[in-house]
Amino acid sequence: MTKGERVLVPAESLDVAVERLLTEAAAEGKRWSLIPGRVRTTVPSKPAIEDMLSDRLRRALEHEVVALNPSVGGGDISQRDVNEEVVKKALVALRLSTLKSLANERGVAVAGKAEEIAERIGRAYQWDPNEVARLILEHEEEPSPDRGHVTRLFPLAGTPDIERVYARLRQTAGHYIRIGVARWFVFNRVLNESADSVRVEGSHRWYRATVDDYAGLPRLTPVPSEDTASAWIRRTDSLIQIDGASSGAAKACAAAIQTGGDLQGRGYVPLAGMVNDDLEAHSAFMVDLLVNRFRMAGFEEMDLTVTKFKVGEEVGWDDEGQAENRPALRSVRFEGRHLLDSKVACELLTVGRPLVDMSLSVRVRSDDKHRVARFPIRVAIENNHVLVATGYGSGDPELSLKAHRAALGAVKQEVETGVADSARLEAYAGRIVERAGAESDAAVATMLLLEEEADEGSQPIPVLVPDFIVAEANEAEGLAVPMQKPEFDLAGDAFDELSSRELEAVTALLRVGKVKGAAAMFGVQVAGYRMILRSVMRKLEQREEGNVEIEALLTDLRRFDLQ
Amino acid sequence: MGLRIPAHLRDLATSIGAQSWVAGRNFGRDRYFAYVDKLKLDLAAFCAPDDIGPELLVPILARVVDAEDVFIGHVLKTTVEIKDPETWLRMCEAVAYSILQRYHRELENGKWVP
Repeated sequence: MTKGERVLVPAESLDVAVERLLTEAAAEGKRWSLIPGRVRTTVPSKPAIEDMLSDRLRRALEHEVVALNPSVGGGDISQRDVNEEVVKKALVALRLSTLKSLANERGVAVAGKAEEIAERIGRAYQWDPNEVARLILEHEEEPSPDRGHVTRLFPLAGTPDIERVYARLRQTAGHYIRIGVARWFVFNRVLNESADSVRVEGSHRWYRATVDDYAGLPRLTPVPSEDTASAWIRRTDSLIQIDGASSGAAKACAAAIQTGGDLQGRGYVPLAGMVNDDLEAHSAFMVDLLVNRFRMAGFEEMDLTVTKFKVGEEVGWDDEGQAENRPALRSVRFEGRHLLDSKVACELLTVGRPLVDMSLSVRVRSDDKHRVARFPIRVAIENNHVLVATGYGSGDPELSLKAHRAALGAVKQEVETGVADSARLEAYAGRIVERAGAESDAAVATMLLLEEEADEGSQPIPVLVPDFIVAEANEAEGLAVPMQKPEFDLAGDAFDELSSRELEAVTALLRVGKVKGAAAMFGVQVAGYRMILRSVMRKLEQREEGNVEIEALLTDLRRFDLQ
Repeated sequence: MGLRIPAHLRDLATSIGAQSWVAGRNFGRDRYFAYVDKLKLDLAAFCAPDDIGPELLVPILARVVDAEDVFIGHVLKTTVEIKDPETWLRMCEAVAYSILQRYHRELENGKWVP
């Protein structure tokens, strides 16, 4: 056998080998424990790990050989293999950085390709599809159409005459109209559920034409496709709202409704225009949503995680009508956290690059304030419509729907009435220019904080240690002179080696006073949160000498149980 | 280059003193090292000797460590709690990596001859 060669081994033989190797290992261990002089410690509650080791060894062997699995019942893949591969498939659809963060939180190795990390995570969750589904929803930074609410808003030239629209559209029910080459829209139902709205349900059907050579005879084969769409036209809205459809189906549905209902579509998204000569119109639309409308909608702790800027025009054409073949960058996408605080994103905003697509994570409270959850929200400005998508998040469907409705309401208002608060937007435009001109990225994200918080943010951020910690510390140590509530300047030079994430973690812990609560506030799992804090402590311990502030902070951090 | 303990086990290995246990007198160096040699021969049925990496050896060594009930006494002296099967599994893996680390080091400097 040569290095790297993978031999073919029947899967049953692999199982036998794994069983044999581990049984022999256990026997050997037991035999050694009886050797005189060995100090054996019997712990009745010691957890059983044989199955997990067997699983690990089998997978390690599968990596080295080609395991030949018997097909079930004449050709089927075993259900176990299907389950495990489906779990992996769902995980690898996440971004690599998200996968690594999940692996880190679960305490499994983060090295390697996406598939390897997904395999470790899947194994750590015992390949439980429900657990993995929950995990994926919790960590999705950008909502995807199949895992969230999706709505597309197509602006109209004015508000519709709803009676006339209904009178026309009801004639289309049960009929179809052509909307393009080999493309049709079928009006399945047209409903007038209230006096102020019309609902249209239908399907977009289209055909691809392929040419086959069948026994020497060329033949044209139509390949059909179908996608459904559901639309609302409301008396008070100068737009068509299409829920849950793909981009193609939504465009087809909007075109069919405009034709059938004799509605004048704008064909573009109305934008208020430049702000302060600094923010381009698309960017102003997005930033106004972030700093004004989403806040008014009740979203808390907004964190911009993905931004996409247009940086060039569409492909150019030369004098002879040929497409220019020079390389051209058309868009640039950033992924991360608190992107509005990133210098490079602010630079693109200030040089007039249109921000056309953004995803953010927001915190939403239930009406009774008892439930809180985070959801990813995406807003994208397309040529003739705006997309609003909200992920299902951490498994509270009611709150997810509430978040989607709030985001949708905010975007609708932005489309219909323009900027919510010009003065405030202008102030933010000024801050963006300031950030673009800064020497480096800010240590602490402050851009999406309220003005009063942001003013504090530009100054050192004071963090007060909760009273109960001071009280417990005094009680535990029986101090003659009670411990004072220290105040740390986390933005000071003493903490300059900490990343913004680490600073945020420390701040959360000190504010909340409990590791679990702070992890939830910080939006990570407890294990991952502890790792971040341990890294903070290691960095601080290296710089502790003679620095009173660091010493005081370390003393307080050590009071929390970070094990 | 010597064998490195994977990053996800490194902190745990340090906190349970895995490397110091492997370096100590209570470890049973010759038995473990001879067993690694034997495993390499067994595993040669599946892959070339150069392909026998720690991923194959660690689960088997971890099983020996688990069954021997000696290392667990060392862990109980530390402040790290064996909360669940996953934690104990990772502890056994961490010590198995530490064993292989010492094995490789002594193989390289000629202190262990298979």
